[in-house]
Amino acid sequence: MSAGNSNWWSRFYARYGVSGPAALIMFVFFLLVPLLPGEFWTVVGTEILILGLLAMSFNLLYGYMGQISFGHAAFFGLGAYATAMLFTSLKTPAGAIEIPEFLLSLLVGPPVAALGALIVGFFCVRLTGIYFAMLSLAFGELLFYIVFSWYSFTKGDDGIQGLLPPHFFQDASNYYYLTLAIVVAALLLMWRITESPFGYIMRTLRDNQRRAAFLGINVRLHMLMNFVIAGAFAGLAGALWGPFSRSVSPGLLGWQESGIAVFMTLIGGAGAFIGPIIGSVIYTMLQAVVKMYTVYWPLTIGTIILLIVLFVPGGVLGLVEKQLKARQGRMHDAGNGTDET
Amino acid sequence: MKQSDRKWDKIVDELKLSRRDFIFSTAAAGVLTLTPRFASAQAGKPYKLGVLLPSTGTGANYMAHAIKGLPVAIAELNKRGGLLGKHQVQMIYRDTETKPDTGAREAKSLILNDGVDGIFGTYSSAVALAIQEIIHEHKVLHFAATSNSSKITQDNYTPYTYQFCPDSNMQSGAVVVAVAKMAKKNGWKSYVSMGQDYEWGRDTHKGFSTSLAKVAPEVKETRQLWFKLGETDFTSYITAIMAAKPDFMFGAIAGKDAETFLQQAGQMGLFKRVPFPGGLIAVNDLKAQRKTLPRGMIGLARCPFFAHLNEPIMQAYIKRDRAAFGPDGYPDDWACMYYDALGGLEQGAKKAGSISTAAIVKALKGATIDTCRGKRAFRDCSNQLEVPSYVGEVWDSPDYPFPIYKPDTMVVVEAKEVWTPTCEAVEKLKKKRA
Repeated sequence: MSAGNSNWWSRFYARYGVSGPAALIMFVFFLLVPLLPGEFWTVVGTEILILGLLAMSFNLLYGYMGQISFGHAAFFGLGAYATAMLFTSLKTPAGAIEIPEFLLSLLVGPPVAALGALIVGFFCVRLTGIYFAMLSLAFGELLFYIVFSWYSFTKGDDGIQGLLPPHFFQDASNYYYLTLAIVVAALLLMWRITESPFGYIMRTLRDNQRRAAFLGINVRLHMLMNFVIAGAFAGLAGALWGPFSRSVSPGLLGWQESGIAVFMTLIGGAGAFIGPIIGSVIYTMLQAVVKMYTVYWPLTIGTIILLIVLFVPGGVLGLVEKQLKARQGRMHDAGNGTDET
Repeated sequence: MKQSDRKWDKIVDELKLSRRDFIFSTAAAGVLTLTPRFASAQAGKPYKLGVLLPSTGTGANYMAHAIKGLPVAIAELNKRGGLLGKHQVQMIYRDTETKPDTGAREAKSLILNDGVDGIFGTYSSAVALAIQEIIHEHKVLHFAATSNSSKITQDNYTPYTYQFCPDSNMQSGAVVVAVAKMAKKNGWKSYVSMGQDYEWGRDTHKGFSTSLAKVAPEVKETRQLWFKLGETDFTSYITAIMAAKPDFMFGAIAGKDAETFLQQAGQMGLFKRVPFPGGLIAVNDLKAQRKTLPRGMIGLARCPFFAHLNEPIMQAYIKRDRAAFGPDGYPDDWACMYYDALGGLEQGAKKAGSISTAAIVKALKGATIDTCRGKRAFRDCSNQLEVPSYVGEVWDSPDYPFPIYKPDTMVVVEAKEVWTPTCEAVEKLKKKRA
C-alpha cells in the first residue's frame, strides 16, 4: 500500500471508524440483492432493511444515550398502524391504492410515532437504568393492549389486512429499492444527528449524566428529544412494514418485537453506528435459513445471544474493530522497530 | 502437479481405489443420482404442501397430533401414488408461533423459496387472516381447518381459501340450539360469558349471544368477562362467576387456556354450582384431562372421532393413527379436520384431473367430498364446508381409556341449521381486493 493510500485509509478510518468501510460494503451488498435468483432473497433483504432501521433507532437510545428500552417496538407498531389506517382509508372503491396516496400513507407513520414517543418519553426520561427500562416496557405493553383490545378502532387482535401496495410496488424489487432509498436517507440523517453537538451531548449523558447537568445541559429535555427522534425513526420503519407484510397486527407493538431490536443491536454491536444493521443482516438471514431446516429457531437465536454476550460483548463490529486496532498496533510497533534500526 | 490433483490422489489413496475405479464409481454414482429424477419425471411433478401450524405459543398443544399425524397420512397417500396416482406429496412444515407476522413471513418463505403449491393452516384466526393476504396475492391454494373466525370465509374471503371446520358463527349457533333446549328444560334465565380477549373469542361470543337472544329472548346475559391469551390464574374470574350466580355460563375458551381454566374451575367446584354448556372440549381435552374433567359437564366438539364410527374413512383413520401412535393414539378434532383437508386436496385434484391451483379451486367450488364426517359440500358463496358441531355430556365409556360424549346426550347440529349469514349477506361482507 502506498503512503497516499495509507493516509487516505487512516483518515477515513479515523473519521468514520469501523462503520465507514462496513457501511460501504453493506451499501454495495444491498444494491445487488435483487440480482440474486428468485424473489425470496429480495423479500428477506427488505425485511433486513426495515428491521435494521428499527434496531438503528433503538440504538439511539441504547448505544448513544445509554438507556435500554424494552418498549421501543411500540413506536414501530404505532407507525405501522398509522400508515395502515390511512392506507385503508385512501384505497379506491375497487380496493386499490394509487402511488401518491400510498406515499402519503407512509409519511404519516413517523409523526404519529413521534407523538406517541413524546407522551411516553415525558415519563420515561425522568428515570434511568433499570427503572427507565421497566417503565418503557410498561408503556409498550400498555399501548399493545390498547391496540389489541380496541376492536372498533384498530380491529383488535385481527389486525388490519389488505395493505397491498400500488401495482408498481407489488414487485418485490421495486419495493426493495424504495425501502433501501428511505432507509439510506434515514441513516444519513441519523449519522448527521449523532455527529452533531446534540449527538455528543447524548454521549455525555450516556457516560455521566451528573457531569452533563453540571455543565448546564438540560438532561431531561435532551433525553426526551432523543426519545422522540428514536420513536420517529422506529415509526418510519413501521410505516414501511405494513405494505411489505400486507397486514399489521398488535404483535408489532409487543415486547417480543422490542426484543428483536435489542438482539440485533447486541449481535451487530451497539458501539458502532452501523452495528444494528449488521445485526439485522445476521439475525434475519439466520432466521430465514434456520427455519428452513428446524423449528428450533428460538433455541438457535438464544444460543447465539448467549455466546455473544459471554464472548463478544461488543458484537460483531466490536470484534472487527478490536482486531483492526490490534493490527494497527502491531504495524505501529513494527514501524517503530524499523525506525530504530 | 496441481494442488487439486494432489488432493484427489490423496482421496483415491485413502479409499484404496485405482484412479480408473474412482472415476468409474463416481460416474456410476452420478447416474444413480440422476435415475430417480427421470423416474419422478415419469411419475409426475411432486406436489409441495406447506403446513403452517404452531409448535410453540398458545395452540401448540391443540396442533400436536395434526403435526405428527399429517406425515403419516401423506405417506399413505404417497404409497397409493400420491395425487392423481402420480404426484407425490412433499410436506414442508413451518412453525407460525401463533403470531400473525411470523405466519405471514413463513407463508412468503414457503411460497417464494420452497415453491409450495398449497398451504394448510393455521391455528389462530388472526394468523389465518394475515396469511390470506399472501396466498391471495400469489394465487396459492389454502385449506384452513382449525382457525374458524367467520371473517376467513366472509369479510376476508379469497377464492383460494377453503374452510374445513365449522366457523365461529356455526359453532356458536350450535351451542345456541343445544343451550336453548336446556334452558327451556331447566328454566334458565341468566348467564355469564367468559372468553379469550381476541378475535376468535369475541367473534364466538357475539355469534352466541346474538343467536340466543333471538331463539330464547327470556335468557339474559348478566356479565361478560374477558381474559388475555395465556392466562395462568383464573381464580378472580371463577370467583366473579360464582358471585354473579348465573343459571349457566358460556365460554369462548380454547387451547392451553381451556385446559388451565377447566382444571382450576373443577378444583374450585365451579361446575357443581354453575352449569357450563358449550365450552370447547375436544378429544385432546378429553384425553389430557381424563382424570380431572368433571363428568356430566356439557362440551362442544368440532370433529370427535366417536361421533362417526360408522364412517369407513374415520374407521381407517383411527386404525392408522393407533397403529402409528399407540393404543391411545385416537385422532383429536384438529388432526381429524386436517385429515379431511388432505382428503379434500386429493379429491379436488381428482375432480380437476390436475394439481394446478386454478383447476382445484374451480373443481372444489360447491363440490361435495367424502370426509371423516360423511359426505359434505362446500358452500358455494364462501367455500365453507357444511360440517356439523357436536354438543354432549362428558361420560366414562367402557370402550376407551378416556371419557367421551355420552351417545344419548349428544346433539349433532348440522351446518344448515345454523347457516348465518345468508349468501346474499356474505357477498356484501366480502371486501374488495385489488
